[in-house]
Amino acid sequence: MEKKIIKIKSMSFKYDDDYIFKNFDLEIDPNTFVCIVGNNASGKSTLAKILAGLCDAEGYINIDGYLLNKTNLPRIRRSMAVCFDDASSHFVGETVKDDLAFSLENLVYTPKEISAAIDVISKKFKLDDILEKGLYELNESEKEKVMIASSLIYNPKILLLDDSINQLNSSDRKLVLKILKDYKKNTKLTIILLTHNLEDTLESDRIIALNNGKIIFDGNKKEAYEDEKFEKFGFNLPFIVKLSHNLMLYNLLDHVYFDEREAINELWN
Amino acid sequence: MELKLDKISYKDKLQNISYEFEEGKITSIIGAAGSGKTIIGYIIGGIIKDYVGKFTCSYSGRNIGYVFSMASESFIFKTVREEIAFGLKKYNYKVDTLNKRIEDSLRVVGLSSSYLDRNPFNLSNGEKESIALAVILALNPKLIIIDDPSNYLDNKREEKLIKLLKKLKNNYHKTIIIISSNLDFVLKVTDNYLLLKKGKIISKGKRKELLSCDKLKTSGIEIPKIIEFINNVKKVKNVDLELTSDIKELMKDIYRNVK
Repeated sequence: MEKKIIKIKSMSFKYDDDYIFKNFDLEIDPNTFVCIVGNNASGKSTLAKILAGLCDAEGYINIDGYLLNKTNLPRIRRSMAVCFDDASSHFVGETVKDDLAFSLENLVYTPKEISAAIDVISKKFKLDDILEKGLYELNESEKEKVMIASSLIYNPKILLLDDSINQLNSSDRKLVLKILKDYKKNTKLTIILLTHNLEDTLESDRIIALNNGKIIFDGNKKEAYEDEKFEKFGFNLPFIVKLSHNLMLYNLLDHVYFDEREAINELWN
Repeated sequence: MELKLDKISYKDKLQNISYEFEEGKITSIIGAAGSGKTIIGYIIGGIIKDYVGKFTCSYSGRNIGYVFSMASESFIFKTVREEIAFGLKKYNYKVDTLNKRIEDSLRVVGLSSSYLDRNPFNLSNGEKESIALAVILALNPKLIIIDDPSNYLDNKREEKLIKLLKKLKNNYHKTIIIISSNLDFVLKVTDNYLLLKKGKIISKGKRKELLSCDKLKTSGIEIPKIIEFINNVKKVKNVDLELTSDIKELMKDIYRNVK
């Protein structure tokens, strides 16, 4: 069997006296796009903080072959880039260009290598026009784009995104999702996206639903959306899934569609 | 009460904005990131003062309640109770009245009093958003400005917020301004809208007109999937479905059309 890139066993964590996680287990295969969905207070942000080493949990956590502890944290951070929901607090440079260079400077890249890497990432994310801008000249969408670009520039094996694509405008969102899929294909990136927006899950290979620190669903999108259980969990279904279920009641469709174009062709063929 | 922007400009962020807000209604300022929508909020809230143009506002002081987009950035205390009490302190309420106001405002936003002794910084983003709203509601403002309320709210909290906003408008005659880029959310709650792009108003009107507004596509905001679907049916199959934000209405229309 393939080695797991993330392995969590019997992990427990509490704030004050309330357990957020108790004996929590989770394994993630390399090169998958995993969506961890949960409503407010489900524990998903706490999970992100634990994986990022910002909260000390009890139990066994292994990331890319390293046991998660203070000594290994720098090595783990090299394997796993983490983006949180507040893009401004990620920004470390004077300008976008500095910010992109920052992680590479730490990894002792030469100036020539750094400038080449910035060129490449800037083309992908369409950052050329804002490279010389400072944080306060950027809008929220640009900030999130820069945060994700700065994380991918050093080719991490894992990218952990905690509600980090919320503020992207529609064209940037399409672009970022495409870039993530390209990285998954070309660099074997493992993507872990934490979100409460089920529309995002349509892009993923695996969906994990959290509620009160427990996994209440784990499977692919076909299994997730074969019925309307996610509504019972308190989520809004992705539009195309909701529409499919409604149209199946009227016998206008015979299964759940994930691709809008296919559904339209089936309806008006 | 009057709230009016007359040819307002601000640096390179806003250009010649004129708009009169309707009292006792919900008005949404919508636009993509960088459109200038938050700047308008800052001007109304009195945070930005060096604008050009004329701004008339008969609301002031505690009559204006402002919930910022990163709700937690306004927190300073270690308990929710202190957070809500802070704004009330200078009004010298008796302890009983003060406590009642604190508990009431928490209840209104759908949180139990068990939250009172919790640390606001340890709460989830959705809970923080609700606490920030409770903080301003405790002061009973007449004008409420909420910046990007739906960003971190899950489905249940969003529904609760929509009900609450409608109740504040209908039962308490509050004037509410929502700053948002989430059209799905805005369509469920707003009466009026103004749509911004690069610091200019590109469209304004009533909720219904927003559905068919042809400027939406170029505004950079995410078009609700349901509207995108209706537009795509037109594009691919040349079939006209009625524009709606309600999936039940869409279902009926598809059924009629396909059968």
